[in-house]
Amino acid sequence: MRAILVGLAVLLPAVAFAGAPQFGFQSWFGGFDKAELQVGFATYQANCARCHSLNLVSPGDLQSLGLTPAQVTALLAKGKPPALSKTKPDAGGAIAGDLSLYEAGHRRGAAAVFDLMTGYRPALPNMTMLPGHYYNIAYPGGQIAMAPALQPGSVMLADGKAASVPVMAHDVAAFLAWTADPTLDERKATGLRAIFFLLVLGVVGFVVMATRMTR
Amino acid sequence: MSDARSGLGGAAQPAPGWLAARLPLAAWYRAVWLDHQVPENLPFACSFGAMVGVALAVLTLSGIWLGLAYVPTPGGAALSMVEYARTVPFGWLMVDLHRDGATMLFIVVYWALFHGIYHAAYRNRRELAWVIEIVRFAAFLVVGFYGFAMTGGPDAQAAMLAMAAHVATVPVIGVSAAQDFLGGDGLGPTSVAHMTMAHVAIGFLVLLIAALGYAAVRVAPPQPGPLVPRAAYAPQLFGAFLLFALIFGLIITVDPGLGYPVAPVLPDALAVPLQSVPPWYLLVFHGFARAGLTPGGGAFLTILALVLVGALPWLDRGEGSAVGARPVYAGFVVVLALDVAVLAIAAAAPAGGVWSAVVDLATIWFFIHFLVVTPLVTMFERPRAATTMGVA
Repeated sequence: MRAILVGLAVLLPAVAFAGAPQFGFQSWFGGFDKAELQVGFATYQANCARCHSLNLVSPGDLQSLGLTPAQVTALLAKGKPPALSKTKPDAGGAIAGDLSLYEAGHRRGAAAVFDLMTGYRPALPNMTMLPGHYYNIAYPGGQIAMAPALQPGSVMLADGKAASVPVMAHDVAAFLAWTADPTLDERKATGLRAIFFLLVLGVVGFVVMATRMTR
Repeated sequence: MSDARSGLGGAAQPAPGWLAARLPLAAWYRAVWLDHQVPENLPFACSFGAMVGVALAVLTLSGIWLGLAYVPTPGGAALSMVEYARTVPFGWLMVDLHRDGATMLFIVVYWALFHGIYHAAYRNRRELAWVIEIVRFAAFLVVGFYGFAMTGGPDAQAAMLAMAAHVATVPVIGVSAAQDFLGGDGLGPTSVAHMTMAHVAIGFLVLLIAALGYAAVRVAPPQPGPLVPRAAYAPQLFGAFLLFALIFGLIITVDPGLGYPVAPVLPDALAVPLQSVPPWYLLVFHGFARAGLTPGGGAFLTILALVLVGALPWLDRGEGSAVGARPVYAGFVVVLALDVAVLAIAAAAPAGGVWSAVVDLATIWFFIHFLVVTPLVTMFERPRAATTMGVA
């Protein structure tokens, strides 16, 4: 009986979370993975930045991704990627919004971005597509004006291989979680210290009071 | 007991110091708090209720701090706080202390309300103290709503318009009061400034109401049974503070937003929420508003609910109040607490379908509890022992 229960306890979450992207920073005390964030930033630069702004992120913030000041300066010297028109006339004037806080306003956060990036499918034969729209199973209504954004081969990893679309989707989702909540690491580190301090304070306080009460 | 307050003894020595001779703050603190005689057997819940004071202190101080950076305009409200949290050292901590301080306040307040109803804390010449506590609770809700409106996202803007519709249904003065509330016919450039001023003014008024409530409790006659000075409860208060601070720290560390917002953070003319979901501590009253069908009905149910809770000293027709003295009534109070929890969960769910029916049923049971169950059960239930215990 106990074996069955333990088996269920292991299996049910495994089934529930199979296929769901894993993000360390979504766990209780987990933080960002800087390698992921750097790949995500490169993905954003290569695939998103021509239409979508990140107005709340300043160049100096990029140092907390692990970039050196020299690297940030080099990026700035290159200038912003050439911006496309913000509106797409062929898609009913759809606007490419600012992405800084995109994930802060979604209950599913990074998982919503991962699903959107990997949700493109060929339109079904019986579908009537709007002009300039693409079929995406993760988008409400199924028709999105944004073309499949992540181009295979657009980002090279440190080992010299090109990042696959799922890897880019995962890491750009993590990167946008960072732009939405850049102080997450500092908050969790400070919070853990505070909790540890309170636990020690509690032990010391109760020992002191117990000795004084019984004296 | 001299041990428990030895650290404060300096100002009350036979020869008072320079300050104590002119402004005896320490002596007042002893008289009003430390030496106040309270029952010997108060439960831990009473000490936890005192954490309302800690929550109010955190909210007031962090609120003043945030007020220095807050831009009370429709476009600036949300953006100013986002930029403050991102760019100012420990700005995120001030924002989280304030929004999660509200959560901590309401955890304590809802717990204290349940405890007060369960133990009939309004007995023994405490009717007025109870009424003041409900007025204080209503003021907390109002300040909480204004704070939510001040966050400035699409959710908050929709909530402001919905609240103006509620206000407009008040007879005679409603329409002009709604215009005063918003600073115009609809959301205008001064709307957020109106929310800000009300949030701050009522927020400070709350401190006065809380002080009045404590004064009213203090003059009530002491409970029968052995008494001790409040200073004897120092270990309990220390434990209550630790529990409070640990929950607080855990929320800020793990998920300071508690699942919110569910709409874009910044206002956007193209992002209109399908349904505005207020913070969890307003959900019960959001449920009343939904069950009321029209804005007028929702406003009426909300006010009626607060009046009925405040009228408990007169709705309760019975005698006893100790734990276990009135098991049937105590059971109904627990059912009421579950009912309120279900109402809050259902009120956060999308409108329509089974959840709307749950909102209606839970609201109906809330009013049946106060209008029918409470008078009848307390009238007919014989208390096992007519003692009064468990309240300060």
